[in-house]
Amino acid sequence: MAVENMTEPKPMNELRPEEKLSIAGWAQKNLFSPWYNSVLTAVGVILVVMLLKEAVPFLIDAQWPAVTTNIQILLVGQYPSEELWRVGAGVLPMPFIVGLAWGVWGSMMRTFSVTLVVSAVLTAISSLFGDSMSSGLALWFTVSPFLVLLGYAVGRRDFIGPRQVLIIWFLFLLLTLFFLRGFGEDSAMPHVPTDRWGGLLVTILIAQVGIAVVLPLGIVLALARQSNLWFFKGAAIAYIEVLRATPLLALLFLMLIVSPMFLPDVTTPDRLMLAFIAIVLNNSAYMAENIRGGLQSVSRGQVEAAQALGMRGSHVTLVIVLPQAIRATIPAIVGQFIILFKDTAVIALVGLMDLLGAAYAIILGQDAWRTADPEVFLFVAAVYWIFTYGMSSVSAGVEKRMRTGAD
Amino acid sequence: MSAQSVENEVMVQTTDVEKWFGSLHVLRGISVTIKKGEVVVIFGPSGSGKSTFIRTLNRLEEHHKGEIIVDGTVLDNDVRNIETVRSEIGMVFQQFNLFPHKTVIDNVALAPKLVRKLSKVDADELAMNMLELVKIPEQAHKFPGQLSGGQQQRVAIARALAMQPKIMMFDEPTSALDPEMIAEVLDVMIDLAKSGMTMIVVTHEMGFAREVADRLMMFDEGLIVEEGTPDKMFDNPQHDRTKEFLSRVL
Repeated sequence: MAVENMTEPKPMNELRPEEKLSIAGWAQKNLFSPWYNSVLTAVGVILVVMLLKEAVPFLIDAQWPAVTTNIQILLVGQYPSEELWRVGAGVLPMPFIVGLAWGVWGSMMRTFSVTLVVSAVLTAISSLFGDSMSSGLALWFTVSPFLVLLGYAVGRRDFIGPRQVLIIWFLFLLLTLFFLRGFGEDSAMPHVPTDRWGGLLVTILIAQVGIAVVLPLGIVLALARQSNLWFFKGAAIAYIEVLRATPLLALLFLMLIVSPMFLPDVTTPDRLMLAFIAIVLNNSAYMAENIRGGLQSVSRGQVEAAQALGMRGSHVTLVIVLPQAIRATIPAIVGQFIILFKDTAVIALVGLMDLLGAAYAIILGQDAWRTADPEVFLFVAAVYWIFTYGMSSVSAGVEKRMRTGAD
Repeated sequence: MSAQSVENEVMVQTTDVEKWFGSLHVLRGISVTIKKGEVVVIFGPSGSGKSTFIRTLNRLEEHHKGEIIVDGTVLDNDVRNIETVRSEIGMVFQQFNLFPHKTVIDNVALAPKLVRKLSKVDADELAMNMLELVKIPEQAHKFPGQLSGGQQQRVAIARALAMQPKIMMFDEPTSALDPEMIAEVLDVMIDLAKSGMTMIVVTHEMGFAREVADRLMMFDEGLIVEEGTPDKMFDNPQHDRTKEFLSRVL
């Protein structure tokens, strides 16, 4: 297989070195001149001091047990305790694959991987103080950083490239889903219906499966919209324009409340699946438009050169135009992935137990934690931030590479 | 496929080819016959239809009237005929149009793999031979963006040659190049002409035309105003438009 040119970046031109300034000089330049910046600096300092005055006592008095005693609900929802080993084992490939991606794509994935490793290490360390975290959970957070490093070591090797990482990721994702879902009642892994799944587990699964479905679907829709065949073109335009004009929340209600009326009575609709479909429908319409922009950015000369060589229409599109369109659109694609990840939180509003839904369940479900909503929501926000920050850093890395790379 | 009745050695035959861009009549009846091994240079002012004409020969532009026969295949709406003709005519563009996401060797090996169904090993070997022909085998594993304009245009020539075409067409191949790079591209084209390749070249490089062209055609306002051997055209042009144009480019 040809090695994709997503390896280490080419050395770029020497950047103009930053002027070296002393601390006083820096402050003078950036904080106090011209005169109105001095005023802004003073106002800023006052605001920060006021904020800290409130925040520090809060953080000291905070009821963190609201988070620590409920950590299992926040991480996996109401997944049966006796089957928890399946979650631990099922998601074990994920840190390994993050490491693989880091090894293969290099600096682009570094911040993402390091952020996850640091978070896992901090979680593992925090389990030493206090006995609220189960030993299995503590073990998982201790092991996962090593799996990232192992993945990194494997990913550095020549025999593994971007294509292999994507295939491995996809296969393991399917395997994880089967593992979590289980089989018949009498088997070693009894069936766990999806309404017992929850917490960060559901957030991460929906985001990953969503990404794996939305990107191909977006590509197909974008190509259909560019097609000369009126049926495909019309269907794609209708799909994209209707779904882009529908708020995700409205779509979610529509899927969960209205669509079961049309389903045959014998099936009990899987609410998590319906919510997932709503997210995919919404995001794929936006993804299609991102990719269509990329398709339009590929010059006419590229198509003509391929045609002049006698290539079939399908080859011209799939081998020449599409790869260039996707490459040009990577920042927008990653941006859409981040939006999709954050969009998963709306499923809490229809009573599903994703990370945010689990937070609601803790606060509303147990009198002891009714006043602990700031702590729980702060924790939830921090977890979302860890993932979105990691994904943003990937996007920034891609853009940097596109600016410096000779391809 | 049809018309095997056409004389074997005629590679391109057009009869009264006409084309419009909207209401603009860009080709107003072009009839040419180009034989095997001939090198034909087409020149003329911009907007005269010379590029449009060669682009109708491999159906990058559709003609609206008249007949085009390339190596015995009639160019019509039949997609198979179009693909047959395209795989027999190599084309080199003013803007190179290399595939920026593929390495140099992949650029050259791609069409032989996809269209001629060569194995990867055979296609890569063929590609290396072609890169040697244009004298840049050492650049095989770089990306087009890392090459100079002249090198890119030579890769584009190698890419077209890898399909082992019967005819090579060049659409102003040196117009986008810095002066010091024009020679390296023309050298390759001169070698190719001397090897017996049938060539149709739109260019204003009159030194090249004088050295290798068998025939020159002066296009103006969608018509061939004059054609003839380099000696006749350069030393004794008949038409005022030809005299006027040549006096400005020579």
